[in-house]
Amino acid sequence: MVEGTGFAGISETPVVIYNAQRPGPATGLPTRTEQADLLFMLHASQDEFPRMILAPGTLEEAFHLGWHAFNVAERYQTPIMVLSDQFLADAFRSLEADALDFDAVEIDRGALLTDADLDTLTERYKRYQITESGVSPRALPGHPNAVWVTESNEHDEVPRIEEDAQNRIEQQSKRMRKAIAMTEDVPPPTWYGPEGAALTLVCWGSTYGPAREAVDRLNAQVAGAANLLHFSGLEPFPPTAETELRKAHKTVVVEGNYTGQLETLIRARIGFSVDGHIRRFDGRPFKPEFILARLQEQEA
Amino acid sequence: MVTRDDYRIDEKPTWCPGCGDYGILNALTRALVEHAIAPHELMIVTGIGCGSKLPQYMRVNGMHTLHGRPWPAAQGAKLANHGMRVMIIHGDGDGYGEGLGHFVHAVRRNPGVTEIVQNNKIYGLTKGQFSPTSEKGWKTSTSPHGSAEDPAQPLALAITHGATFVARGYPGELKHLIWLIGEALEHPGYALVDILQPCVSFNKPRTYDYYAERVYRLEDETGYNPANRTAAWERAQEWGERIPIGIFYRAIPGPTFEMLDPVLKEGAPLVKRPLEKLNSAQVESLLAKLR
Repeated sequence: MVEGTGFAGISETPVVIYNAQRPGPATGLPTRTEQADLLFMLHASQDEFPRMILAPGTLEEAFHLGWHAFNVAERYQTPIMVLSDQFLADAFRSLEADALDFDAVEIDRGALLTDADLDTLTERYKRYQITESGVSPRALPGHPNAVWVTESNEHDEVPRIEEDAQNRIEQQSKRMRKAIAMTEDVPPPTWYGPEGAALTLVCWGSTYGPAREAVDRLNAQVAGAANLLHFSGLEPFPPTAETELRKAHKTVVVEGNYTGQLETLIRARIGFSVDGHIRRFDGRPFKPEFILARLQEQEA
Repeated sequence: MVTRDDYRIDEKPTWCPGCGDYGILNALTRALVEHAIAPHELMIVTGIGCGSKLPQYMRVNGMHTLHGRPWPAAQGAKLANHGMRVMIIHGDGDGYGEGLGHFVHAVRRNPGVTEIVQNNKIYGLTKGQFSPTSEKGWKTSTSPHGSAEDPAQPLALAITHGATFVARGYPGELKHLIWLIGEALEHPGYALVDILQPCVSFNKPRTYDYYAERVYRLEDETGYNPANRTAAWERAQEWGERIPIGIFYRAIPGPTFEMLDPVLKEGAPLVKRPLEKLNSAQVESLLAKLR
């Protein structure tokens, strides 16, 4: 599986990979839920190539990040991961008919060459042309002016199989440059609840719902007690994350795994240490009661 | 008109002098020219191995994938653009080793894909380990006491799983091989051409001389009828003093996998259809199903 992901990375093939996380390892708890594949999806496959990880928190967000993922995949010609979990994938909720804004949907094929573009091509088509953005115009096979071999080996612009050191530096740098612009397309973390609350719950993906309800209950008891910072974009790490996290007075990360993968990622990317965490890895989804009970225990 | 120059490219193969892959490349190019198939109309999907580098040595559309994994890419290519000719070309280690599961499932789907296997009965790129088609008892670097495994029977396997064109060629019989590849390309369904490929560097037992003394053409056998599936299955397992080449089995195939797909069987190939957002009527009909 991960070798194919790497093939998409080096061959710059747009692909959207959907992972509804379940507890493992191996078969684990195959009908239950967890959020323990974040760092796996971040590193899956050998070597390095740009990727994006999107983790929708709600059904509405799943709808919008779904089509966004396909657009981003074609814009950057690289694997895009949508990270869901069993809880979100199997969740039922009634939505109003107009809750999903179909008019907002856009289809962006990125730098895709048309037959008309290829008709006027006078030089040999270079599938992996070195460009400033790192994105090379992509043809689809079938036009007489664009005949080439998609390569899993390192290759030059044409592409020929090429092991020359300078070429490797140029092609790897070209691919990795795509990550710079990708930061503009990763959704920033979003706030819920009153500004400047005493406690900030930090979460990602499907934990949004129960964390939001926990925040509501805390604020019903004491106004301004809590708010929520939710991450639905995790790679590239959103550029606004540090500013937002530093606005919080006390941060507690709520996530469904043993080691604290979002907590690890926050520390790795921006050197920010959270104040506490609530983790769950028993295969059951978070509930507001679970979060509130753990908060009480930690205060006691 | 398609000529051999259309397929020519200035690239020197990494193959050893005398490798059977040169003959296979030559026969393939000639067959493509004879059947008037232009490079842009063809997609050659390969795995990993010496022979899988073949599309780099001709001017053609190709996809050089992963070891044992050309089948998923080739089936995807055929579904995305069933108007394009798709071939799979790979070695026995790739196709019958790591790729054996893909092979069996692909065969029973009958995709409109032509498969060529450069079968040298050894892992040549990695310098001589026993492969799925190595014979029992062969001593190699990874079987110093002799391989303990019976060889895979890919031709019989293909016949068993419903393939309707199953053939074996030999680059020492070049004209015959060109004819075989051409027949496979004209077959309106999945077609397999397994090729006895001498590996002069790492398979010393199976040389050109060895094969030259043993191969015989099924077409020359009186009474052999390639429409007889049982006879084909038996003949596919003949190996030793006499080694058959030619068409083992040929039948009229049913509809291809892609033509059984309700979306694909009418209209242009997927890749030629515009990708547009749903209009309001389509959105409304989707939502109606949820109410």
